[in-house]
Amino acid sequence: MTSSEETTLVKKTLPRQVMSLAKKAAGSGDFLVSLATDIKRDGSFAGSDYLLVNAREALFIYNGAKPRLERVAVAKVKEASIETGLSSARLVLRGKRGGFIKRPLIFSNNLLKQFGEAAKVIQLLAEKEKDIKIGEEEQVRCPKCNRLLPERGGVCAACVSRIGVFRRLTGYLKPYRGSVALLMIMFVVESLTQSAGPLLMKILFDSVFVPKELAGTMRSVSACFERISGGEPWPMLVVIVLAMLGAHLLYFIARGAHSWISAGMGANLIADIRRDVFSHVARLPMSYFNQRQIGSITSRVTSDSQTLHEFLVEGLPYLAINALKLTLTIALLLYLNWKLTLLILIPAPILLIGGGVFWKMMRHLFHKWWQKWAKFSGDLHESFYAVKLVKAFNREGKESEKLDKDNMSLTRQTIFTDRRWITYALFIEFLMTSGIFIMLFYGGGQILKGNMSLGTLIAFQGYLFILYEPLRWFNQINQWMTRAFTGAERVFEVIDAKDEAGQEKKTLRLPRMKGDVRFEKVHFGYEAGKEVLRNITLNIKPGEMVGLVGKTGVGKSTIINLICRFYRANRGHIFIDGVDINELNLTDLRSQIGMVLQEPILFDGTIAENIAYGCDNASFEDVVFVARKAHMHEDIMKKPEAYDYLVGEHGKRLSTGEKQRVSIARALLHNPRLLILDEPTSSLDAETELKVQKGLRNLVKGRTTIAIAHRLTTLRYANRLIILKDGRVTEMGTHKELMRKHKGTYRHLVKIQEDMSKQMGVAL
Amino acid sequence: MAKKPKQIRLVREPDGTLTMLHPNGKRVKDVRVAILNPIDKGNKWYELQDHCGKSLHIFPDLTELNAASRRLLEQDVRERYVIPKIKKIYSLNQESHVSYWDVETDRGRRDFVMKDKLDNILENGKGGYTLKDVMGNYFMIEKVERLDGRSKRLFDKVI
Ligand SMILES: Nc1ncnc2c1ncn2[C@@H]1O[C@H](COP(=O)(O)OP(=O)(O)OP(=O)(O)O)[C@@H](O)[C@H]1O
Ligand SMILES: [Mg+2]
Repeated sequence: MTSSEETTLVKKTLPRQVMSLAKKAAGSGDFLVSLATDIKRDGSFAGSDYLLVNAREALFIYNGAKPRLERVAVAKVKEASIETGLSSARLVLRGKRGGFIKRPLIFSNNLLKQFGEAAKVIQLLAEKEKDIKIGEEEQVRCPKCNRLLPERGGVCAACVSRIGVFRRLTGYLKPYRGSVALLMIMFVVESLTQSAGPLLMKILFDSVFVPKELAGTMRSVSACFERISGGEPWPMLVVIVLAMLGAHLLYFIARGAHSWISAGMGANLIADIRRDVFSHVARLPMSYFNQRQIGSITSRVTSDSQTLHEFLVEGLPYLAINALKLTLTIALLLYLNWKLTLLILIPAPILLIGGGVFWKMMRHLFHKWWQKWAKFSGDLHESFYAVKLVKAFNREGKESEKLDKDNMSLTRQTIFTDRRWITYALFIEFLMTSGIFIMLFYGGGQILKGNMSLGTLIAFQGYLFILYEPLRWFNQINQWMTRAFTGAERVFEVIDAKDEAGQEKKTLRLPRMKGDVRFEKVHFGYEAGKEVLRNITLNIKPGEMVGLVGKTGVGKSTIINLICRFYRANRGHIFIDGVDINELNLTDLRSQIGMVLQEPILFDGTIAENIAYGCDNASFEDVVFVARKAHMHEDIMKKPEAYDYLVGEHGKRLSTGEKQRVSIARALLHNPRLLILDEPTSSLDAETELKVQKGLRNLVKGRTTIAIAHRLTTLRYANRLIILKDGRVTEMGTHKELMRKHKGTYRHLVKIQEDMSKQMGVAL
Repeated sequence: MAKKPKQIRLVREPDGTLTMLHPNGKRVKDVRVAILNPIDKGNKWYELQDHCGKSLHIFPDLTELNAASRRLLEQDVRERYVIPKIKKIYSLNQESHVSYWDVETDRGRRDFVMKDKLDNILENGKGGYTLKDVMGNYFMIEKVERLDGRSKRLFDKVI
């Protein structure tokens, strides 16, 4: 065990009773593994069984009225493995004779990783391995609220640390300090000028329209206007209206400036965030992509960063400006008439609470609506995407029936949601406007009693709307912030994920690779508990051409993935030119490997661009040269646009064999030291294949080549063949050597293929 | 009864593995059971496999086995195919795109998290649903109608 942090994955705190039982049996408390299952051996969820492992033995503790302990000496274990079922898996220890040593422990998928590591530990101990390393812990539950996480090692949607995220979010505003300051000023101007309106209205009424002796508060402000206009009603009317006009104008100017600034800042800001995300995503290891849906990663670049943008550019300003307005308005109203203010605030709590409840309901409705919509558009997409299949099987009628069902269901939901929404809007509107009646009744009474001026009442009416408007939406803020913060966390999670090159401290440069590839006892699985490669040991010498042969799904492409370091071995080592691949500089490694992947991957662009991908300094001549070597040139020339032919998305306007040859040409252009050909010619006819092979033969000279093919004739030029079976290397040698092995897999395969071609010959 | 000697039989070895006894006298040690259509609500198809996963025998109906063998097989199925039936929903919360469930099932209480509902909820047409949580665990609601009122309300709110 290298560090204490690494061991937490397989060491969980177990109940005291269990621990003491285990300690007593083992004689000490030093366990490498201590885990509890989450499904009992009888298949129920009520309680756990336990597994503890020390250097000598594995202890199984079965839960029951009285816990029962059973021990297994690790030396007796031949194989410790995980067998997966459906939403469950079991840890199986097999002895030398094949049977179980103990009844398997059962657990859910949640613990797959931990028990996978535990099985590895037991296996290594059984093999007397000293150097036991355990994979990294991935959180399954939120450490704070103990809820299950939506993604292994992901973010808890329920408790994102708001302050931390907020700080980091506002960090994006830093480069725009000037704009932010200006924006703030605009907010203040906006709030002040808007609040000035009703106030001026009051003065207009109190000082101009009605006799002075009835005028109420704010004498000093009125006096100011009187002084300017000489106290005469007409000039005063002009001055006050001009002042109102000025405030109004200023208000719109501030609003304009605010939108202007935030539009520019917002666009730049979202570009910053997106750049941060996608530039990082491209550097993430393949295992990251394997565990996640592409859609979920894309959505972080698109919708999540959009959410952040909305929050920063619309949400935050909205909050700021409305908080300012609310405080200002309430302060003014309290000053004008505190009793009336409290009275007209009566509907406010109802607005807040009722709005909150209703909003929650609407959220579900909107969500449901959205789901229906997504289903409809998903089915629509699918039926168009698979249009060829639909036509071929005469399913047009059935498909439109299905779509019509979706469509009607969506329509019903739309009507329901819209009607609810209108009801809500009307209800809120009614509540808001009903404040007016309180105001008219109480305020009117005050005027009649002579306690309040008419102007004050007018001002109140004006402020009422400034007041209720933000209140109406305040109940959404919480929900809004939650969304923004989860979005932010999701974005930050990607940005914070370790990239490939950052996974090691130092890297060794390897400017010119000789092409010596060595595997030493390599084990690998894409998922915990499912080993694909087992104990692979190989040695490929510089300049050698090696063929990998084996049944489909045996792990041939997986070996390639490991050599390119798309994934890392779980156990064992891979050396290139004698250097551990994990210590190599990744750019050096990959720039000298030329790859023809099993599924040719093409970008939407011209043929020339696709061949030259990754080779910026290639001349057009080079492109044509490699295309000829790949026997693609003639086919390219059949297109009128020739090398400028657009291949369409994923190269859909090329045939599969054409795509393969484009990727062969691409790999050749790289002039790699190590050439990897994963089924490079599987979709070619025999004649073209032969031609391509001849072209390749010259190029293969002098570089290490690893080729995979099911058609064994494809590998006729290989120096050596490596046969894989059940994830292991079972045979290795030249064609001749392997043919000499009587019961060999290779000989068997060759025979079958020969027989097949003979039969074909007869049939023809 | 003597007319049914053609049955395949299963026996449990002392080491815990299952052995298949074929009517033709063949014995295969260390076999396991797989279901061909574990999620589908229709009749189940079973397969017996050897320990490498090679298919030995496929049968659509458990009545092909005698009672003892059937019990052994069902025991294995219960271990390897865990699709708990939800009986009651204690709580169900939606936080942005994620829903948190706390439920009582026929196997006991469980909590789980779901995401991307569209892809992970399978409607089986008769008012029942199959759910897949973020870790790939399955859950089943046989009939929403049969849940208690509160559970039903919670379910309707989110789904
Ligand atoms: N990204 C992945 N995630 C999980 N499992 C995978 C992944 N890629 C491959 N596998 C599994 O690993 C095993 C080996 O796959 P691999 O692609 O190496 O086979 P192969 O020998 O290249 O087969 P083929 O001849 O069909 O190309 C298979 O069982 C496959 O299902
Ligand atoms: Mg492959």
